[in-house]
Amino acid sequence: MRLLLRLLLAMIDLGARLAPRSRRRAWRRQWRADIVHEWQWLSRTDAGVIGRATLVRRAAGALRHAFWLRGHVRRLEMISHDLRYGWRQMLRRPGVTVAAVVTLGLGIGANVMMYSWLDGRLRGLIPGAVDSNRLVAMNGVWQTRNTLNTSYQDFLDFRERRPATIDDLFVYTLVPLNMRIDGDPMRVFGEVVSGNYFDVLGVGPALGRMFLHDEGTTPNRYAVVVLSYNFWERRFAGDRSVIGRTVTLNGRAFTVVGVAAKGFRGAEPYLNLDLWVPVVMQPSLTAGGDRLSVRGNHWLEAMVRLKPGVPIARAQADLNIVAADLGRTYPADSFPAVQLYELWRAPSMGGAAVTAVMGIQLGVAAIVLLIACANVANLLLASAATRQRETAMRLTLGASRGRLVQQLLTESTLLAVAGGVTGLVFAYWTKDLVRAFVPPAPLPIDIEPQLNGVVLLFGVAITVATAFVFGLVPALQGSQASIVTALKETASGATTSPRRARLRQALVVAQVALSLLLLVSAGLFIRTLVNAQSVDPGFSLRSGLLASIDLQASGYDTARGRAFQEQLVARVRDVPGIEAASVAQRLPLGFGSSGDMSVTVEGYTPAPNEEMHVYYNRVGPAFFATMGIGIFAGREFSERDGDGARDVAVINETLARRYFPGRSAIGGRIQAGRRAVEVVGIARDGKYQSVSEPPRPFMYLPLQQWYRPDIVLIARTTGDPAARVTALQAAVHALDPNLPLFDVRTVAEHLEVSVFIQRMIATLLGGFGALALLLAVVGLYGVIAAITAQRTTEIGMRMALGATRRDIVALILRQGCSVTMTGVAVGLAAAFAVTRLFRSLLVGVTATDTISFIGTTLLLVAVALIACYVPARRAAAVDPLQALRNE
Amino acid sequence: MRDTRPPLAFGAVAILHAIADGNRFGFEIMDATGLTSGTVYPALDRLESLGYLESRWEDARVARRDKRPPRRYFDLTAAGARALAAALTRYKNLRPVSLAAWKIRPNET
Repeated sequence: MRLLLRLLLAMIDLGARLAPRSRRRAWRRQWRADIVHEWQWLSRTDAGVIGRATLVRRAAGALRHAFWLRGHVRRLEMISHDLRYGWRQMLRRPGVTVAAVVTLGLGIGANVMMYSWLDGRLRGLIPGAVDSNRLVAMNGVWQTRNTLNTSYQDFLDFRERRPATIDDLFVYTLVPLNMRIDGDPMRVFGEVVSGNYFDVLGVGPALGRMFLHDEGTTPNRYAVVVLSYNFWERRFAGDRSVIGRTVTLNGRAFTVVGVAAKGFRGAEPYLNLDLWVPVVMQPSLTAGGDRLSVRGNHWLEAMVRLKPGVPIARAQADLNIVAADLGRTYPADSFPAVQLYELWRAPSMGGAAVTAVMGIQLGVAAIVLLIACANVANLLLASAATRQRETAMRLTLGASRGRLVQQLLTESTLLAVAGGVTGLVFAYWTKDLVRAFVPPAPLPIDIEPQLNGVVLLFGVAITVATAFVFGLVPALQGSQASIVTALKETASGATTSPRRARLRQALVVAQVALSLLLLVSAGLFIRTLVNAQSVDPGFSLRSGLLASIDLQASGYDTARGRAFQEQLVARVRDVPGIEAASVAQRLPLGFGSSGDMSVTVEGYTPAPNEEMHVYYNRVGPAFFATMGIGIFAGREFSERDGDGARDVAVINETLARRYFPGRSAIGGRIQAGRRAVEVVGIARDGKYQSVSEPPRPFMYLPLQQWYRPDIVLIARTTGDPAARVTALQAAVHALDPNLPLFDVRTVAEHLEVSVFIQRMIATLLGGFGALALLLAVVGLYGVIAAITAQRTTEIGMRMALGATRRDIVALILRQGCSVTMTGVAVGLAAAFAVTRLFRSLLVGVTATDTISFIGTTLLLVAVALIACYVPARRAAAVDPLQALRNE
Repeated sequence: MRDTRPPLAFGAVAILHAIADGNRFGFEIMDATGLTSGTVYPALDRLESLGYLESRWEDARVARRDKRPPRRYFDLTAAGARALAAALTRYKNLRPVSLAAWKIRPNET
């Protein structure tokens, strides 16, 4: 029995060698004490063979414990050692450290900023709504289109017959409104919404209440409005007595019943709405008569809330059963199918306006990140190069490669964390800069960057990825030092291995190439912007005033409206300083300025599956003369083309060419909707929706025959248009003192809006292109400076042998140039390949525009040369004696 | 600040529980938990370095009286007690199941 104890204690004494030195004594003491105690207890209780076997088995666990301690202690010690060592390394080379941290900070900051912009959209979040992930957009499908809107009647049927897989659905649409509070007119943006809108979204009131059931369902009876929190604070200074107050919306009095919860901005991303009105009030609010009862009028966006856990495809299949049934019952009015979209790709207005930019935006962010990462990798490679001797020494002294990699990775992680923190600080500072990227638009576009947990997480993920991916290559490279050569070299003369030098140069080449790609793209869009402002939009009117009028809101019926429009044009024409005037339903190149109808052309047989959709506009007399649109053949509209006269139309060249090939279009007949019109004139082609669109068929109809109460007044002015605003307003108010003129703007301002997307991309690419250039130049400078520093001895030797300072500068510049030029070549090739992707957004420049390509290349080369010149000068200033003495 | 340490594995919870229950050193804890020494001893060290446990050497006089070396005693720290409480809440669901289908009555061991 005692023998067993002796054996076990001997085993512990021997096993102690397995334990790490720092813990050896404690380990031995602990196990000896425990074994003795257990043995004493066994002796007392006479536990027999089983007890002794258990003791042996348990004592054997001591060895496992010792092994474990070994690893555990080493892990702890190594990490703290590596951290301390890495920290000292960072402090020892403050220049490199600051450069790396700032570079990483810029790269990470740019990405975090971009992501903070996209976060909500990408995750399909509606700020303020509950469980947005269960909300999906529903659009109608008809032939090749799958983004069609819904009619109110169809919505009612869908809602009543909604399948068990969905909770509910609601409809809404954006309406610009003319609002008066105590007589002051202002333009506000609201949504008309179905009564269940707030319920389905899960938005409650901050004050007052939301819509009652009757208010949401009884057509045109309850004039109530819910304000957004933002609007309430802005316009009513957060006055709680606002509930029950009366405001005038498009001429009708509405009672404020509530203020929506703080943070809720509406169902559209990127739009910041002011108020909500029940959709059943539409006849009082928007032009075009009562749309509620017309099943064929598809004017509403629909959103569906899925039941928890229901996949979108299943809900779509279920809704399609209802849609197919509606399509059978109302074949002329209802769509036979629907398509559901996750919110991040919903085709509705606020998203669509920004979606075009998004692809480019993401690409830009990724490229900036790549450049920043290449920079850091380069700096780490540079530091690995100067530490070759240290590495070799460690390898000689028995460090494993894995150990060295771990050490170097710890250092890059330290750098990355510092960079990540800097990046988040940058992102926080520049958070509101995002708004500078959004030019003025006729929509309440408001991008609210979120610096929330997800965005922070994104920043951390980027930081870790940067540290790992771009720390790993230098770490593997660095740990590969050839012991013999490295130790032979002197500290200052250590030449870089050719392989590593190549790798570093390749990284700089990649940086130069990527930043050139961004710069070329920026150049293309900046040129586009310049061109777009001078592009021929198809009309020559440049000096003029525009104003929107809504007769419906002021209580005009169709007959009075027609008369008013006629008088208005005549009256405005007489205003001094106004040369010509007309009216139109919409203006070319305005936001959302499209409307199309299905037509058939007499004498033209459409090809199978050819869809005859033609975009159109309704215009008043002398529209073409006022706008300066040339009429090729026939005539334009006059006062005689009124209600009751023969139905006529003016078409553009493209329409004439396409549908009247080989025959005169004048006198031709077109079936437009339920009416047949006769072509009386052919007008010049123009741009209708965007300056970058290709020529498309277009048709003009006389406003008097196709009445609309919401119109735009167009006045051609002499001299400064802004000086005529008061006279114009006076002329309108002389006809009707209560008729508000909203959105009075000059033609120049209107044209500015038409290049909204291009301006946004140009600003964005310009900003990020500059950032990329800065990073690439820092990288180039770093590499050239490091290479130059390593060649100090060589340079001293050259100078001792008679090289002049000029020779040295030229030597270094040559090296910098070869790297830059390779990068330029790669970058140009990449730009040729990439820029064609956004050809459709360019105006007046080809995707391979020579000026953009050459101009940006020259800019980059010039900056690169400066980056190389600084270290070259420093190298040339080397004192040859000093340099050689170090040898 | 919130505790960001990962939730404890079942074995670690069992050990904390055993210690909270009055078992103070290695072999006692093994008896209480049924875990092997190769598991318990490293776990004790790890829990100590996580700050859930603290250890001290037994009073030398007591040990001398019993004619044996002083043993290493473990005690729960405040953090350990909190972690144990959190883990027990997590494992709470394990307690009240009916095993009648296997003809096992409650409280039968």
